[in-house]
Amino acid sequence: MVHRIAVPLLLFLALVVGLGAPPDTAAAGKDFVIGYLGDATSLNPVIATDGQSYIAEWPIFDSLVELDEKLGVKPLLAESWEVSRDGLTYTFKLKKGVKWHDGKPFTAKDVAFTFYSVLDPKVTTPHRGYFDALVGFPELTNKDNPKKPEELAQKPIEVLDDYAIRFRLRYPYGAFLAVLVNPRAGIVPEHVLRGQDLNTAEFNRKPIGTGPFKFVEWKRGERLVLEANPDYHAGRPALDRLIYRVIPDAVVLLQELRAGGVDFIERPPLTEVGRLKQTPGFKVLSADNTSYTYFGFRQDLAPFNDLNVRRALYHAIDIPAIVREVLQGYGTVSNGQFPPGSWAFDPSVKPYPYDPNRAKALLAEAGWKPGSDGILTKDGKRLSFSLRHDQADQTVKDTAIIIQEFLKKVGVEATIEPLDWPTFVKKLFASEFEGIVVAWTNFHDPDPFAYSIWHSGQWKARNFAHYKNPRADAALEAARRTADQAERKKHYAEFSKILMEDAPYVFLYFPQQVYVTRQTYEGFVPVPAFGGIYQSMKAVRFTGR
Amino acid sequence: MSRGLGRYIAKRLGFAGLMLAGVSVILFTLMRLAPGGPEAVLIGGEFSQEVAAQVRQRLGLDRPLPAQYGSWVLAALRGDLGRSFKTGDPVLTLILDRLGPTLQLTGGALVLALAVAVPLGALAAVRRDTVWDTLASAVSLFGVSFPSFWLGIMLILLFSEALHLFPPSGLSEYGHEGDLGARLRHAVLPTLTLGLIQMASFMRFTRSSLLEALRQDYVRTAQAKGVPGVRVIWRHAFRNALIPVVTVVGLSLPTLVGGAVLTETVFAWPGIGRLAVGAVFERDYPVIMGVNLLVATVVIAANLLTDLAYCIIDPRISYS
Amino acid sequence: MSGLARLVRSRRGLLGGVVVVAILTAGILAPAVAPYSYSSQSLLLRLKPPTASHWLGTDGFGRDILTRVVWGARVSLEIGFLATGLAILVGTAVGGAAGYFGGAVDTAIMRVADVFMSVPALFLILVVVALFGASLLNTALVVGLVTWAPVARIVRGECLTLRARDFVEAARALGASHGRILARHVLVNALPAIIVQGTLLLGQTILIESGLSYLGLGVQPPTPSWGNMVVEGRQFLASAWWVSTFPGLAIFATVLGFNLFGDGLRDALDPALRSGSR
Repeated sequence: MVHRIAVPLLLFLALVVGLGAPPDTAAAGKDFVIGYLGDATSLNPVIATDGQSYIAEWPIFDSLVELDEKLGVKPLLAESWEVSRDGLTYTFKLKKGVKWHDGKPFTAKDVAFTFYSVLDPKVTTPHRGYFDALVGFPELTNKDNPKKPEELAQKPIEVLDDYAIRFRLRYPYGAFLAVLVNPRAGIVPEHVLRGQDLNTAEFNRKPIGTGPFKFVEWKRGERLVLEANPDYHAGRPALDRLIYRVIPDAVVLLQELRAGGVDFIERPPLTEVGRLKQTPGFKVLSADNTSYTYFGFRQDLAPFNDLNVRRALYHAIDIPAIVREVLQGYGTVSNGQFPPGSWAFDPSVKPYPYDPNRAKALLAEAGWKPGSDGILTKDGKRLSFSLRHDQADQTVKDTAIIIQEFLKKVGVEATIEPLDWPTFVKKLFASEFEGIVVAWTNFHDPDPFAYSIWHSGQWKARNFAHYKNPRADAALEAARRTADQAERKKHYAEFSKILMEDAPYVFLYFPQQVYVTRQTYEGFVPVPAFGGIYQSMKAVRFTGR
Repeated sequence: MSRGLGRYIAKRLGFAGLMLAGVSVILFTLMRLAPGGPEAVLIGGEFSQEVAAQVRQRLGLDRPLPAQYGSWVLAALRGDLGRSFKTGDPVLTLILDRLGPTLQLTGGALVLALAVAVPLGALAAVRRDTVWDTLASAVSLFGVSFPSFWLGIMLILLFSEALHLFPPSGLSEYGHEGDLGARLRHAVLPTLTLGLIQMASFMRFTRSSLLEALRQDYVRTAQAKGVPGVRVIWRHAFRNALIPVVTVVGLSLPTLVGGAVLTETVFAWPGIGRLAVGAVFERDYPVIMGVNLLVATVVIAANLLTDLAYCIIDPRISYS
Repeated sequence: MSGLARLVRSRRGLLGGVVVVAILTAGILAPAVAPYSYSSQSLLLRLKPPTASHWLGTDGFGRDILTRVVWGARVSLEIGFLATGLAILVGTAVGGAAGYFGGAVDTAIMRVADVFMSVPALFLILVVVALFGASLLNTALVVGLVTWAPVARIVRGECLTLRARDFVEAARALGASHGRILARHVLVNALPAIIVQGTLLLGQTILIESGLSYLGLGVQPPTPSWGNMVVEGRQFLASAWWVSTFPGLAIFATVLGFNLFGDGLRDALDPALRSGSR
């Protein structure tokens, strides 16, 4: 009887052990395996707008210019450019001899096609707003009666010859060059997409670009494979292939890195990063980023419509502690809308420091008295509100829990309500919330985000918190209408001061972008903007055996 | 008998059609009631109401609900399950692509579970109150008390990180899709995770139902009459014990197709379960409706099959 | 020999019973017994290993794990009892009616149950949570909704067997109404099976809740449920194993306890049923 069981059991064990040879790592070589937490939705830079799509399509497409480490722009497909005195005309000379992945030559016609597509109201893309300054923008983007470029007296985009193109603006827009970088401004081929519906084209799944890597295959939800472009105009990349693997669990992603299944991971659990730094064979890459996380609330709702209450909430939270404990130091305390790496950043604006006593004093001043359960009350109403956030974001989740605890200590009750992303976004933009903890992706130029988040005319756009201050409006408008960076900086400094005085949000922190990869890969350039590190994939090389 | 059987099947099939319709209506309504829509995920971080409205219009979501449901049904009857909002791929293709990995995982786990559980469970019942029984019972008890995702995580920790025997996730290595060895290696941990727990549950079931059957009068009678022990067990008790086992297997069939969501998430296994969960989180209505139709079909078919199996195993049970 | 005596004498029943009582005590007495508040954080004391002042260590926010495990018992039991109660109630009513009346009623009811079971549990849960939010009550409701159908099937099976018995015939002959027979005779005899099923279900609901927490649904922090504690602690497995392990052990031990107790119950009540109804 015994051997009836023992024999099959032993056979089974033998099978298990026999199969369990160490996995042959296709990784750790000139094929670079990138582990990312979610799949891209589309590989067309004109219409793709989510973060995962950005980092997937970045190596496939080039833009006219690209960012450098100081968030300035340097030439890419555009060799040089001239800006007219009045700041209204930009003339670009394009690089010659650049070829599309299918061998056809790249010309100015492709550039014109790309941006006219972005302006075309039939194409669903939020990138349109970035080009508001172009001549004829209102006419071209009119939903009901859009004009065609040929019908305009003055064309916003004009092909001068095969390698020269001119953009005309209707007001001097200082952020214009900044807008022309990847991932939002990759150039797409006119000869492939002419006449097609960009929203549903097969191209979105099988793209052709001029970038350092060519598309090979895409198994949805599993992997995306790109291979080096031997004819890349800046030289063939050192890597042979980029293989993006979808692994939706951050912990499993880490395990795959350790097991050799991937060579590069994004957004690792920050508590493990410290240990990884000390593990031989791995290195941690970090760079500043433009996004910031904040604790926000409706300005026009009680109790937040009281300045003292808002300032009290700011004093109640120990933000440096959060940066230390939740972000493990991979972040900086925020003082407003602009990241520390931006030229618009003003170090003289200081956030309200952690001071729970001051918080309590301010709340008392505002008429709130401790109730029977320790929560403050005023006129029979308790100082209690809901705190909503995206349930899928672990860092935001942790932050919300910590905020809740700090608020409790000063007698404020926040009830945490995690919501799934579609629900959360809907309520956010419909202004159906009291308190929120959110991260703004933000942009490497102050415009357009500063305007669309804080201008009082934007309540239906990103100003869903309903902030309103005419002085801030004036400063924002002035900053938009000039191309002179020094001028803009002045206006934004004024704006930042006003913002901190009003304390419409508790600005929390700017988290860094953190990646972990193997020691045997070199050449990463941590550009401090969203996904900036993917820009340098063309320069990464394998230094191992 | 065959005429009655034929009528029975026809009646059940008729009901099946009605039930599928019912399920699809319920699901359709529920999905639309949930706040938010696919535009949130499609647009991502650059969300704006304007673009959201555009997206909804392009996807046909601004039409009245009955119209939307109507077009879905009409298309489905033609075999067209629509296209995913997120990827634009045909839903049928998405499902078929993932059917293979799903069946591989759940089928493998089921086979493993049955192959080990039924003999061991039977052994435990027959050798009741001996060491074997205690051992088998203990193991199976432990197995059903474990959270499945926890088991998966532990297995990864042990066999992947500590021992470097198996890869922690995924279906296969790039460039080695045809390599059977690689695919098997990738399948071991997920199959074990799913299979061990199912095995524990099946084992308990087999044991208890066989014990039940063994206690029946006719078994005791046969034993009293002197029929050899093994024959009694096999011909009488075992066949009757199979009935509840068939029930349990039948109940686990939806998982077979619906995929084992937790295991698939832990191991990043590209199966239908993950597809479906992702679709709900992303409000990808065509995918949700399509997958559900498939799963509902399987459940209804499974129930029909198990009921028929009852009839075959135990002629005493008649179908009304 | 009475059922209770038999239960106490069976080793599994006893062991399981002890565990169950321990968990129940922890859950009921949580507010009084726990050394700290379950949500009070101490960012300076994050991820400390078990020490004298924190017997099970602290978690990622510096909260005491022992406190949260004890409170987690309360939360898990609340969800467990609510969900199981709902499942038993609905399942018994539905399954009983189907099994007892048989025929067209049976068919109709079971088809409805089939429809219910055809909508994958997770979808139902996801949609309900998306609509109504993930709270303790909603989680319990949803878990109950998902587990009643198997109960119904089992109760139906029992009733199908029972209704053919002599005593039912006798009662009908004496003129008793269907309702009376169903309640007083059939269901009472099916009660042991129902109780056993319920006990096993309690363990199952805890497992389901932990699965939901893994996907981000289920009970939300800072309310401690063993499920979400395990999930929160996952990222620290390598550096601070205690954060996930203790709640994980708690889940395991509790479910094991309920299963053992249920088994013991089944063994104890089963022969009693046989001799009682003969």
